[in-house]
Parts: sequence; C-alpha cells; structure tokens
Amino acid sequence: MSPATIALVFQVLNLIIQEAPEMVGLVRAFEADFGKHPSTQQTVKQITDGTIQTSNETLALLAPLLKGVAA
Amino acid sequence: MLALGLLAAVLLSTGCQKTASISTPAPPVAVDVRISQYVNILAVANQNAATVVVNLKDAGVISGDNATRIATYQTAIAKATAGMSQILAQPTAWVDKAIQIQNLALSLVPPSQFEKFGAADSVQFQSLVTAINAMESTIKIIVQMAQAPVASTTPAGK
Repeated sequence: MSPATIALVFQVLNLIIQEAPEMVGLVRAFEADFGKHPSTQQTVKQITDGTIQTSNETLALLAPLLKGVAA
Repeated sequence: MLALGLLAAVLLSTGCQKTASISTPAPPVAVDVRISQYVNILAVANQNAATVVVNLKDAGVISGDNATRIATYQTAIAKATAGMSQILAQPTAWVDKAIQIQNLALSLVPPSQFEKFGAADSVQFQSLVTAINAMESTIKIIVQMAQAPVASTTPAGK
C-alpha cells in the first residue's frame, strides 16, 4: 500500500471521528495498526534520511562562519 | 402552493445550516510521521537561512561577529535536526523518543536580540529575521507534537 493511500485512509478515519464520535475508540485502534504499516515506516525513513543529508549540508555551509569558534 | 413553497424554503434553510460549518481535520498521519515531516521542514528552512546569512555577511549587511552568533544557532539546529532524525529511526519506545526529541528542541535558543543584528530598513535582513522566527515556531510545534500521547509507527512495548 502506498503512503498516499495510507494518508487517504487516515483522512477517511478522521471524517468518521467527526461524523460518528461514538466510533473514536475503534478508529484509534485501527489508526494505530495502520501507523505500524511497513509503508508508513518506510515514509519516516525516507524523510529522516533526507533531513540528515540536509542538516549535514547546512553544517558544511556554516563551517566557514564558525572558524575560530569552539564547537 | 404557498404551503409547498414554505416547506421548500424550510428544507433549503435546514440544508444550508447543515453544510455551513466547515472544520479543518487534524493531519491524518501518525505522530512520528508528522514530527519527521516538521523536522525536515525545519532542516530545509535552516539550510535556506544559512545561505542567506553567508550572503548577508559577504555583502556587509551583518557583521562577522553577528554572523558567527547566528551561525552558531543554526549549527545547533542542524545538529538537532540530524539528531532527531536518528532518534526517530531508532526501534525504541515512542515515549523515550518523544522525551529525547523534546529535550533537543528545547535546547535551541536563538542569540539574544538577533533582530537588531542588522538594519531595520534592510529587506534582506528582515527576511532573515522572519525566517528565524518561523524556525522558532516550527521548533515549538515539534515540542507540542512530541508531548501528545497518540499513536506512532513504533510498535508498543518496544
């Protein structure tokens, strides 16, 4: 299941919460199960990999401004 | 005929009231996915702001000392965003991750009175001030989200 499909499922779940508050418990359990889906975890990994790369590039960019300053 | 018209008017009115309230749903993703997205946004914003700081220093809009103060803050943000990403990737319990992410986020404090490091009428410098304010807001959002006791992709008990 693609991350986009999972996001759509979560949107439907939120709609159910709004329209049928008595189903919140059921929806929350379903939501937690979907949160553990491998595709969702893959999404987190892709995002965090990109963040680490961006952060490292920023450190390299700022390094010349920090010459002589203790790290 | 009049009764029919009145009935139609009442039905239309009721229908309009039913659809009048529009609410914005919460982001439909697990909390760690949301936090990883916000951390990524912070990292990208920080990278863009870093380019601006380098350019403003080279152009003489801000002094070398003040550029170093801002760069020190931005370096802390870059290290924190990398650290948060590594924490998010760990197979540990969500509650432990959340505390570590909060601690990292709360350690980020901008230099005192950074908004006075450049001229008030400099559009470029004011853009940098806006960018730093936006990063501070994003950091606060990350802290708030890490405090929310909701479902994550980390299996319970791990």
